[in-house]
Amino acid sequence: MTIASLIPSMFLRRLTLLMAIASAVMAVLGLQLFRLTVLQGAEFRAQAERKLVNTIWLPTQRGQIKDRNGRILARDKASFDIAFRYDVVVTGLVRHTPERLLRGRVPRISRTWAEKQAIDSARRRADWANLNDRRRIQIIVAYLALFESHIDRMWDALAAQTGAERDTIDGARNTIRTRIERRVATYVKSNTAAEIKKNQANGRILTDKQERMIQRRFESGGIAEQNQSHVILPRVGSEIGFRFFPMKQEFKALASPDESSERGYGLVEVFPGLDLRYSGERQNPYETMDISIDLSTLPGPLRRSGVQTITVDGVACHILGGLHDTFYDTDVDRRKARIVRDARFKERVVRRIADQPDEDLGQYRLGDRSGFGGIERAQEHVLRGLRGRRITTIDTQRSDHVYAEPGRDVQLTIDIELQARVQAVMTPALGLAKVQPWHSTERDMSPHRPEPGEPLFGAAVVLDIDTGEILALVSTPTYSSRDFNLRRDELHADPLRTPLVNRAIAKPYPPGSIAKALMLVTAITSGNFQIGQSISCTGHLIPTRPDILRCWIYKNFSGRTHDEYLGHEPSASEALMVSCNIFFYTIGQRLGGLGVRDSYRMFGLGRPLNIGLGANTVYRGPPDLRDDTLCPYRTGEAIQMAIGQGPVDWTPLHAADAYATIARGGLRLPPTLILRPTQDRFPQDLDLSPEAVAATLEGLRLSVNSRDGTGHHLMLPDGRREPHFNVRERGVDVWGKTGTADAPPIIIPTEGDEKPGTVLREGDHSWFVVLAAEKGSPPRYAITVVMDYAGSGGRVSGPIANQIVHALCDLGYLKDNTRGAR
Amino acid sequence: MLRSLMGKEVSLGRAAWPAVFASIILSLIGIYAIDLSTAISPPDGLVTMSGRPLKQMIYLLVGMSAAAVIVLPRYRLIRFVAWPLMLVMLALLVFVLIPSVPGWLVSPQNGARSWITVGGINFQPSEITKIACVIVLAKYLRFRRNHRRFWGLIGPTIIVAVPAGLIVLQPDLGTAALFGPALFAMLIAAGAKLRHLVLIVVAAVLLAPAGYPMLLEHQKDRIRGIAMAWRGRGEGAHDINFQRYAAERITGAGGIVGLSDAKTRSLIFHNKLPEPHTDMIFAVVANRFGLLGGLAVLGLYGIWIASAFATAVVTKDAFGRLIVVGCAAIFTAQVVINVGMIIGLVPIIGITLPFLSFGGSSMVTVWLMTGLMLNIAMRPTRSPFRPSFEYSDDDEPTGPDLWFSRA
Repeated sequence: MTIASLIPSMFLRRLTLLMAIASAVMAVLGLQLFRLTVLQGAEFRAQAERKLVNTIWLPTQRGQIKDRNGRILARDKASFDIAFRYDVVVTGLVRHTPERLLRGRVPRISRTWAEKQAIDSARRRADWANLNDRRRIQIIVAYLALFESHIDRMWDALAAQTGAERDTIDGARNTIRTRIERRVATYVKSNTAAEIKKNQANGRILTDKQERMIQRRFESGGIAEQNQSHVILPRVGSEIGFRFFPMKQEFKALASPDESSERGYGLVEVFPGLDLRYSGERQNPYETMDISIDLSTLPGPLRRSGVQTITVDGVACHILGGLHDTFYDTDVDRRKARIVRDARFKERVVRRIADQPDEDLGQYRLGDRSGFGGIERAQEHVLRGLRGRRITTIDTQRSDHVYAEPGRDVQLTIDIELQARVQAVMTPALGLAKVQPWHSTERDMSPHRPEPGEPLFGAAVVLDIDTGEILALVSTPTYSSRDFNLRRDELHADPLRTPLVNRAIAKPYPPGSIAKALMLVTAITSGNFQIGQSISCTGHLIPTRPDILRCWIYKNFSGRTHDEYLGHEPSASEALMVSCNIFFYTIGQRLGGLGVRDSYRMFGLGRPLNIGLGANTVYRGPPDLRDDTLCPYRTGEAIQMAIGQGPVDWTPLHAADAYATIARGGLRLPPTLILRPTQDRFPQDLDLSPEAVAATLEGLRLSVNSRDGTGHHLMLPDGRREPHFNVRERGVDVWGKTGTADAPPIIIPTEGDEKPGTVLREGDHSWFVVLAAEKGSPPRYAITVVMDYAGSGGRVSGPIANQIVHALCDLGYLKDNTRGAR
Repeated sequence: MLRSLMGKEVSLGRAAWPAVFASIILSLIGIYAIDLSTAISPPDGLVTMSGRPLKQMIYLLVGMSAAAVIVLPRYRLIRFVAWPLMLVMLALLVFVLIPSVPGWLVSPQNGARSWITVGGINFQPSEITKIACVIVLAKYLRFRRNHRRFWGLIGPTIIVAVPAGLIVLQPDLGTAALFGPALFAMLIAAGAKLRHLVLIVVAAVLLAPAGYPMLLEHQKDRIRGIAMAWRGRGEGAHDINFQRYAAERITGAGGIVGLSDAKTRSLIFHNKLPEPHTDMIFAVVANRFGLLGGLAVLGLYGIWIASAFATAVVTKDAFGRLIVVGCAAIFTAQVVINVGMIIGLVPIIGITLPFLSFGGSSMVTVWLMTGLMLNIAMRPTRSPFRPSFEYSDDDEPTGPDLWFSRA
C-alpha cells in the first residue's frame, strides 16, 4: 500500500508531509528542552543561583617563620592597594560625544563607566524605541551627568575615607589614563600595520576604508588593561583596607532622571569597580645581621687580637626563600593535589558556607603571591592563610560568613644567630673563605683552580645529634631578597657561583674520604673486617700497577706508605686517622659492589631527606641505590666508592646525617628543619655493631687529635704546624674527618661546537666533618663543611669548622670552660 | 454593503478557532513573561499595569483589532491589493536603507536599520512584508503549474528573494530567514516536485560555506559560537557565547515545574539575560514554568500550526490554501528558530517569538496572520470547485528534458 493510495489527494499528502516536518522539529525542541530542564536542570539552576550570591573574600595574612628560639624570621606587614577598574578611573577624564555613543561608534571597551551606565539605563527605558534621536541624546546627556557626578563624589569620599588628597587621586588617575592610552595607541598602530602588511604580502591591496576597518577592529578589541583594575592608592594601612571591603557590596539609589525606568534597576554601586588587593609586604627582620668574630681564634696568618664585625646580608635566605609577585599554575596544582591526598589538610582549608559548594578558602586568587624557594615554597600550604568569606544571597538578603584565619606559623630548628655566625665565617671578608697561601699544595696545578685572594664558596651544616635538628644550614654565596628583586636574571645566569642553589641540600658532591667512616663501620658490622686486624698500605693496590689506585701518601710523598709512616700496618682506627686509601680500597674489595651500595644506602643515600624543604633536597647517589634488584657495580667501582669517589655523590646534609647516625651508635634519625616531635620522624636502628662504632669514633678522634691525623693540623707556608682545632682550651672534645674529593669540572658548553665547552673550574672539593661535644660527653653536634674546588679538606674547611665549633661555644651550645656558658 | 464585502458564504470557520484561542493564551503568557523580565520586584497584582506589560496589552488589543478587521473582507478580495501592498512594502524596505533618511525617521537599533518612527510609533516594514510576500506568492502560484518544472521555480524564488535580500541588508537575518521556509512550504503545498526542492536544498547546503566570508563579523561569531558550544567545553562563555549560555542557563534552571515568581525575576536580572523581554522571552517562560510550561507553550504553538493546516484542508480554494500554508510556515519557522536559539540548537539571531515577545509590529503581524487564517476558515469554497494542486505523473508539463525535471 502506497501513501498515494492511502491519501489520494496530492495536496493532502503534501500537507501531511509539512505537518510531519513541523511535528518532528517541534519534537526535537521538546527533547532538547527536556535535556536542559531535567537532565541538566540542577546544574543550570546551581549556575544561575550562583549569580544571586554576592561573595566578598576577606583578606588574611601569611603565617610567620620563626627560628628555634621564637625569633621571627619572616612576617607579613599588612597593607592594601586600592584599585579601580579602568572604565571607572577614566570616568570624567574621557568623554565621547553622545551622538557617537548613540550610534554605537565608541567600542564598549573604550567607554567610561558613566557612558556604559548612561547608555544601558537609557536603553532600559520602556519608551526608548519610540524616541527620536534628539530626545535620545538628551536622555543620554542627562544620565551621563548623573553617573559622572556619582563618580566624582566617589573620589571625594575615597579621599575623605583614606585621608588622601583629592589631587593625589586625580594625579594617579591621569597617570593611568595616559599610560593605558599610550599602550592602546601602540597596540592598535602596530597590529594594524602588521595586518596591512600581511594583506600586502598576500597580494591584497586594501582601500583606505578597509584599512580603517582593520584599525577599528583592533580598537574594538582593545587591550587587557582596559578591562583590568589599576591602583589608585597603593599600600594603604590594613585598617583602611578592612574598612573598604564591605563597601564593595554597597549599593545606593540614584535620583534617576528617567521617570519610566523599571523598578529596582536604579541601584548603583557606591564604589563601582573597586578592587582591594592585599599588598602586604613580607619582611625578614634578620636578613641583615652584624656578627662579631674573635680574631684571636683564627689561623696564624689571620690571627689578631680583638673582634671583627662583619655585616652579613641575606642571612638564611636560602632556607627562607621569598615570595613571587604572583602565583603560578604549579602552585594551584600543588594545592589541589594536597587537598586530594591529605584529608586533614582538606578538613582545615575546605569549608562550606551556607548552601554553597565546598570551597578552598586558601585558593589562589588574582593578586595573590606564592612562595619561591625555601620554606616559603615548601611550607606554602601551612603558611598560606585562609580568607574569610561573606556570602550574601541577593534575593533573600541572607548573609553567612566565616572569618579569615591567618596562615599558621612555621618554627624552624635553626638558630638564626648561629646561622648568621656560620655565614659570617664563610664570608670572604673574614679571610677563611678566600684562597690563602696555606691552601696550596704541590698537587694544585690546575689552571682552572681559584687564584689567590679569590672568594671560595661552599656549604656548612650544623646538626644536633640527639634530635636530628638542623641548627644551621649555610650555603655561600647567598643572596638577599633585594638582590633577588633587582638582579634576578644575573643570579640565575651565574654558572660558577650559582648563588640561588642551596649547596647544603641541593648540590651533589662526591663524598671523598669522609665516606671512609661509613665504610669502616659497615665493614666491621658485616664481618668483612675484624677488630684487631690490619691491612698493609703498600702504596698502590695492584702490585704490578704503581700508577693507579694509589694511596694519597704514596702519590704526594714520593712513594711513601702508611706502613712506613706508622711503623706498622694500620689498624681500623689508624686507617681512618691517616685516611689510608689502600686500607679502604681493600675494604671496598671485601664488601663488593652490593656491600658498598648497601653501606651508602643504610645512611640515607638514595632516599629523599625530607627536612621540610620539599623537593629541593637532592638525594643523589647511584640511581640503583633505590632498587634492591640492581647492582651493576663491579669490584673496580666498589673500590672507588669505598673512598668516596666513583659513581656516588651526596650533599653536606647527607654527610652530617651519616656522621650523626654513627655518633648515635647506629640510630638513624632523619634530620629536620621544622621543629617537630622526634617520634614523628620515624627513627631507624641500623644495627651497627658497638665495636664498629667505637672503632670508627676512635679513628675520628685520632684524626683530629693525634699529630698523625689528617685533620689534626694546618701546615703553614713557613713550615709551622698549627692545630686545626683550638677549642680544646674551651673544654670541647672533637672528632673529625677530612676529605679531598676529586670533583668533576664546571664546563660551559660551547654553542654549536662538538668540542668540550669552556672549563670554568676544576680541582678538588674540600670536606671536613666534625663531631663536637663538651669534654667527656659523647658527640653532641655534627658539623659538615665543604668548599667548592678549594683543594685540601684540612687546609680550607678545617679552620672554618673550627670557627663553627667556637660559635657553638659562644652561643652556649657547648660548655665554654674559659668564658662560661652563655 | 458589509454583507457584500464579507461574502455570502461566511461560516463559523471552526478549523481556525483553536488557533485564535491559542493566540490569546500565548499573548497573555507573553504579557506576564514581559513583566517577569522587566521588573525585579513582583507587582502588587498579577502584572504591572505600566511600562512594557501595559504596552504589550495595548499591542495585543491593537493586534486583535487588526485581526478582526482582516477577518471581515472576503479574503479573495485581498488578491487585488497583493501586488500594490508588496510594492509599498518594498518601497519602505528600500527607504529604511537610504542613509540620508533622517535619524528621527529611521534610527538603527542594535545595528539594524529596520524601524520607521512616525508620530512616536515604531513600525517595522519587514514584519508586514512577510504577509505581503505570502499573499503575492499565493496569488502567483494559485493557477500555475510551471513550478512543477525546475526552471519554473525561478519566478517564486525572485518574489521571495527581493524582499528577503533587502531585509538582509538592514541587516536583519532573523526576519530574512523566515522567507525561505515560507517559499518552500508553499511550493511543496502547490505541488512542486520534491526532487527539485531537495536538489536546491542540497545545493544550498553545499554552497553555504562559500557564503560564510560574506557574513558580517558578528554573524560569523554566532556561527563560531554554536560550533564552540556543540564541542561542549563552555568556550566563549564570556564573549561570543554569553547570550547562548545565559539563555540555556535560565531555561534549564526552571527544572520540571519551574520556579517562583520572585526567584525568576531575580535570576533573570542577576544572570544578565540579554533581551529577556523580546528575543529571549521563551527562556523566561521556561524558567518560571519549567519543562511543563515550556512544553505547554510549544503545545499551544502546535495547536496554532495544526489549526492552520486544518484550515488548509477545509479550504478548497488554491489562493486560501497557499496563504494559510505560507503563514503557517513563517509562524513555524519563527517559533523553531527562536526556541531553537534559546535552547542551543541554532545560532543566535535576532528574531521574536510569536505572541510572547514584546513589540507592536511582531504582535500585530502574528494577529494579522491569525485573522487571515480565520478569514479563510470562515469561507470554505462551495461546490462545485476546481481541485487545486492535485497532480499526477501523467500531467507532466512540457519543458526541457532534464534528468532532474522528470517526475
